[in-house]
Amino acid sequence: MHQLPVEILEELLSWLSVKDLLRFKSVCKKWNSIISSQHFINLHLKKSISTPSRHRIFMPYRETFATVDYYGKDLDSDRKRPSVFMPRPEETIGKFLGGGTCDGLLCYLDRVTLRMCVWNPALRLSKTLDLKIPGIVRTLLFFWFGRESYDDEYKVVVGIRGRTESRNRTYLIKPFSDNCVTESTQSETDDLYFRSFDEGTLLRGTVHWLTVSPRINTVGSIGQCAVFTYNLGSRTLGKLSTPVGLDSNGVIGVMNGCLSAVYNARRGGCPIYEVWVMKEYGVKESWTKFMNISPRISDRISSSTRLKFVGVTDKGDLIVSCAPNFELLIYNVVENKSKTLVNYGNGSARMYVETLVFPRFA
Amino acid sequence: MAAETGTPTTLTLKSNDDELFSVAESAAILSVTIRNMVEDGCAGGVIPLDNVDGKTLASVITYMNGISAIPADEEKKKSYRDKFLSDKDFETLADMVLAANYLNMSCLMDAVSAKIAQVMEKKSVGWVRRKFGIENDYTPEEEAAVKEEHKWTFEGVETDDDN
Repeated sequence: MHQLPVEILEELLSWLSVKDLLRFKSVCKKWNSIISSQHFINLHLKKSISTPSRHRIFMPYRETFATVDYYGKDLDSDRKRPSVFMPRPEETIGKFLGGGTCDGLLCYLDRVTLRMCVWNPALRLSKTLDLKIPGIVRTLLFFWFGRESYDDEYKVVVGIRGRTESRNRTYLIKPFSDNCVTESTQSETDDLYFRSFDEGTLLRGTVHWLTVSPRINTVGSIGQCAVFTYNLGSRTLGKLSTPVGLDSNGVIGVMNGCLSAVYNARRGGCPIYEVWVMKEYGVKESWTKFMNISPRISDRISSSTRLKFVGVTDKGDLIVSCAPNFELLIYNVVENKSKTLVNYGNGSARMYVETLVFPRFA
Repeated sequence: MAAETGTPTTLTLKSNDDELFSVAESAAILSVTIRNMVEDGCAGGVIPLDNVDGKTLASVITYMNGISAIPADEEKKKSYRDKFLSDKDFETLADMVLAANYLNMSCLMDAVSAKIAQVMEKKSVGWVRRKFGIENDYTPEEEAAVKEEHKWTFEGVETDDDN
């Protein structure tokens, strides 16, 4: 066979899995240098992200993890459990808090020491570094990891509160370039409660976390929710309203390019999940009910179930995780039907692509 | 262009081994390379395709006719592509990827690339060297070092005599 020109070879190789590519570094020096090059790593990343069939679901367990595709190919077919469990790096277990997925990387943060671990499960590589944030005794309130676009740097946004302080402080860190820290202070001393499992939702250059105020609101019930925002460009903090009725069991995300919220709109008895979208970003009045998810989609759903959107399949079906029994469902919106994808799921299941990306540490 | 008069126009394509093929213009312009020639008015006589041999061009034309006969239904187009590529061997697929690139047919390029990747899945290093005609330029020590670094990627690989 004639030698393929490098551009065509790169195009071909960009369709391969990470495991195949790492093995094929042994083919010859040219292949090794192509597969190791930053140019190819980016090409492979973009191809993987834009090809829905290459998206997988990442499921961390206590000391292991599994990734499965949403066709159910990697599952033990009888029990609907992942067929392969891999060990997790030590720096991602226990007191370490998961802070999101970006480009096949996962980021974990030690709640106390603020030591960060970046992990690429497909490469089986992880590395730690310390975030240089002033103060010693503090509480980690929230954090987010990611980048806005391919040509952007990876960023970490961390919210902490010192033990003697009355205000939250928010820090932006570029951990892989200068590890330099920029602080933004919350102007109002609003006592916001952040849920530790909320990884933040990136939309329009702004990260969003759902917060709950512990104060009693005008209706007399506790737990008025608001969306706390951090703009990555201007480094300003803000607040957005949520649909009325959203409580601390609600979950925010992005749907059709809009900020979305899902919550159980009925207390007690048979739940009805409402999905809302904020049609016009930042406009409170534009929160619109998008759809109801009927409880009939699964007999596993009860009034105490917390539904969370994990992602969307290439056919437009929703992947939904149900806490606390941690089951993953594939929900066909048009037919209002669901089927169980994974029986042994996890609340922090998230969409994930396998990539060759690993940041260089300064 | 004759599309305005309602008569289908036929183009004549010539492979690099001088085989001539007739193909409907509406199907041939799936190739951006050919479409540009048609739009520039250089498609009057015979269109020479210097980088494609007759055997590969015949295949590509079968694909052009097949896919353009399917109405705008991505699902059906996909299943046509899958079926079209299912019986092609590795050498044919490699020739087609070069042709698709030269003819600038992104849908065929993507389909063939994905198919080749699917064929290469779980294949041994020896298999790849053989199929791609690649000489191993590592010293035994270098090769052992590269393999050692990614040892786990050799688990579950299809067995091959000269892996």
